[in-house]
Amino acid sequence: MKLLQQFGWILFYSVLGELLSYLMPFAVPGSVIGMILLFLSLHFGLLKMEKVEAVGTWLTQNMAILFVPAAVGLMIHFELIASIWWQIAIISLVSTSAVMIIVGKTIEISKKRRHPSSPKETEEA
Amino acid sequence: MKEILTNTPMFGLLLTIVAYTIGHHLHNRWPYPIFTPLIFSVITIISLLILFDIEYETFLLGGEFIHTLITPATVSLAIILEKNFRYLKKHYPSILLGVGIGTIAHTLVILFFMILFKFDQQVFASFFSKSITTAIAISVSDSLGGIESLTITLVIVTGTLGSVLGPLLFKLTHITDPIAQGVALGSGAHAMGTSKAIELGDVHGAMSGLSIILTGIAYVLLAPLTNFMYYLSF
Repeated sequence: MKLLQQFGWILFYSVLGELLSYLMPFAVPGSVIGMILLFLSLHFGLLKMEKVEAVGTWLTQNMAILFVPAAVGLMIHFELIASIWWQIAIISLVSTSAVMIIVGKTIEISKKRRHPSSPKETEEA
Repeated sequence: MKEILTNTPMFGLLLTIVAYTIGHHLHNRWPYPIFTPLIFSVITIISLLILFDIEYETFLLGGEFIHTLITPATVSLAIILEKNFRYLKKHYPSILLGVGIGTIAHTLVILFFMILFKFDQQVFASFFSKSITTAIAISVSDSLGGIESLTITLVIVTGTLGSVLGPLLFKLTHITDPIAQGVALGSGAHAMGTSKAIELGDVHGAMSGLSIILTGIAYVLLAPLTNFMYYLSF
């Protein structure tokens, strides 16, 4: 019953997000609005962490599998992809690698400048 | 016989879970990119559907249940964010700078290739939106006149590439900071990158989830400028 309630809370924020997304004058996805609302609720103590923690953690830890059905949908766009497949491959490879390296390096350098003496953050278990 | 098997939602559900689990075990044993659970299960499922002549819609009867969970899972990223809020509070100038520079760099790289391959503005709109999480990508690409199915394809290709390449790139370029790695994964490869970031650690996951939002906002803000940039380049 506890897990069911947790799932209920997460769905509540999801639906709330979708609803507000529909009412917004510009396009912001409901899931993003829901995330911001849940974050604010947790941060300011409107909702206790225990009310969503177990189910939410389970969902985020198994996130990759959730994209499988959409990715399988590539099979119905074969023709379009086949016609420009090598351009897609080159552009995606170069642009994605470039962005990740640039973002990562920018943050590392900027962090070192702002906190030159502090030791590197190590992850907590 | 085939219809009895496939015309129940259980078919798509079971197929997804089994293929993913097999990929997971294979990847634990032999950590090659091809055995990444996501890539392995997608290739396996597409092959099986084509081999047995099963429609995508039939698979989706069950696949939809899994797909539906993307929204609550995205909402749940708030939990990781709250648990790691102190990192955001301390490092937000670096994070915003990284996301901003990354967004502009990505747009310039895409523009360069559009000129190189002489692609039209519709294709540009689809490529421009490919680093954003699917839901935002579609609305941004639509607003610029992009092709929806191409946008979805590119979002998935980018996410898959980013989540597979990310750890290798970090090693090659000596990016070791968990915050830098997390933001790079989320900013470059949206929610699929975030699923990889969560595997790397909690700080990675939180920063990656956060950067999906920040990156989405950055692209939404940059979008009106891009048509102008596109015409300027031709």
